[in-house]
Amino acid sequence: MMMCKEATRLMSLKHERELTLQERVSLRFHLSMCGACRQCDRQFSLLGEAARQYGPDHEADQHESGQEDDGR
Amino acid sequence: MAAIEKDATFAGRSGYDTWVFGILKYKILDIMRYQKRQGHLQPLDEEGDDEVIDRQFRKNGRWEAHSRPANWGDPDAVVESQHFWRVFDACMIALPENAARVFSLRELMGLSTEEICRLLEIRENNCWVILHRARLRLRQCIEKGWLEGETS
Repeated sequence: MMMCKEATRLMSLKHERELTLQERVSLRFHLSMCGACRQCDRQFSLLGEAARQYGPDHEADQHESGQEDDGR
Repeated sequence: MAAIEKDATFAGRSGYDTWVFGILKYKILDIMRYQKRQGHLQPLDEEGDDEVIDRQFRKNGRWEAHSRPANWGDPDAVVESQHFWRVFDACMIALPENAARVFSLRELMGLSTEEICRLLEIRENNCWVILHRARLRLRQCIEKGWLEGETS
């Protein structure tokens, strides 16, 4: 049976390409039994979401709140 | 950036930001291509074992107790939190260079792994390994810095 480390590989991979049917089934089965991996799966998605906001929105928020940003 | 500061009258502000960012993205890619041609861009190492990742899991492939992912709560609330962004910043900077480079090209700039492979001249499989490790490092770093900061 698939363990957590391998499950995180598939959780990451699904952001790059469509998983095969077998990969999807084994990941879903693992996630149905493993709470820690369900959290990890959500976190990976959030990381992508955060990175996409990191550019424009993040900068805009900082400007609006009056902080000077000399780093980027 | 000066353009954004001055043009306060621009109606769709976030649309404008996205537009400026879109231009910057292609500038950055141009620079990277140029650097590669000039030989300034360090080639990516072939990925060997990664201790930081291995320490998150037991030998049998399950999470180590100290690395078990916790609940970060509502994603919408997370990205509204200034503290989250400070930690995210710090964790991006703490990533190894190759991980930061590939993760940024993929998630910040939205390139496909196929495009990244062409740009950096690495195999797609290598790219997937780098991204998997980058995500595991980032999530651990953020969880440490963020949740600990919340409670202190």
